[in-house]
Amino acid sequence: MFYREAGDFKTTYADDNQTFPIAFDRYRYYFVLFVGLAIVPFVINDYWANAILLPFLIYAIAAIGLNILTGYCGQVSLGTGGFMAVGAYTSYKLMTAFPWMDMVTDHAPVGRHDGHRGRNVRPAVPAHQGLLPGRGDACGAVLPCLGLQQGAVVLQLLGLGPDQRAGTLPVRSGGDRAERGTLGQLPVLLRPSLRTGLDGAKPDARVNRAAVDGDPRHGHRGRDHRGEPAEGQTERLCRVVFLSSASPDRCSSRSTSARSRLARPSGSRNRSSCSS
Amino acid sequence: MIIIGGLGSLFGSFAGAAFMVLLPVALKVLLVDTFGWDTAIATHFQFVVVGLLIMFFLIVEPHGLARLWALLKEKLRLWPFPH
Repeated sequence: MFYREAGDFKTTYADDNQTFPIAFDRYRYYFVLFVGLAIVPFVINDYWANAILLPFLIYAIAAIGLNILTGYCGQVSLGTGGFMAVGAYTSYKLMTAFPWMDMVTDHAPVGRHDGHRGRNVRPAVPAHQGLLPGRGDACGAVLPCLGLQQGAVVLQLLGLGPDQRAGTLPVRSGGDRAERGTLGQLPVLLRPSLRTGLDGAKPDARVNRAAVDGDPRHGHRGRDHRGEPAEGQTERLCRVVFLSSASPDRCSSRSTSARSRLARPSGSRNRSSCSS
Repeated sequence: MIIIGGLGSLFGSFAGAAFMVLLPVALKVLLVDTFGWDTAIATHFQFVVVGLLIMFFLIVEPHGLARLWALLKEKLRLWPFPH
């Protein structure tokens, strides 16, 4: 969400982490959920359910997955359709092999008007699941994603909320893209793996400390006379982030601040970085 | 779907999905039921429309229906005042 209501302050940690930070969005979601669960099953017919609503929800979920990868990351996805086909076939096999797994919709309290208990409520279940990640730009959708990171396949959990954007994925190209690039907006919840590197090497605490406090050999608090991070300082910060990637030369001093936030240990969050 | 709905927008995913689902229904009602076209021709015409819309949105509005919806909301907030 790109806006915040005036006077809508967060006073607790739970308020700060809630899924719908804005009351209007929260009430709107409750309203849509109420309509989808309590009204739509009673007024919809089979044509609208099977030919309109269900394909719309299925396509919406598929489009969200593809849009995250293509629209946000700018990557070409060749496996989205395959994953969706695997999921659809798995659902079909589970529903036919284990009919009792359909209890969520069969025992739903609504949708019994035509004698088929829960039949018409089934579109509402994927509707709820589809609305949850699609509630706006401030969503906290957590979607699993397999990706390549430093030559190894890692499982990343992507959250699109602004709170999670504090931990951004360092991109391989230097410059401003690390701070406002599309890939840089995608957080990686496996940041410890990025910090420690795939070889298991932990970041050097002395290097982090030098990045925060500055090294007296490189001017005041790690900056040169122009206020920019000193040459050795920039290289050291990049090495902390990339670790074994052996590409500190790709880092520029403009992108050092974002990367230094990643490399900063948790105990020193309140300290001011030398490059910020 | 995501090209028409809008690249990089979650609302665009829903808008593109709704558009792709409702487009055949709208074309059937318009071309077959109203103008009396043949069903096969109307189905083929649907592919033409989708292709033209993809080219249109890629050239004119890459952010798709989501951006058009945002522009419409901004206009309506100020309407009828120009500034």
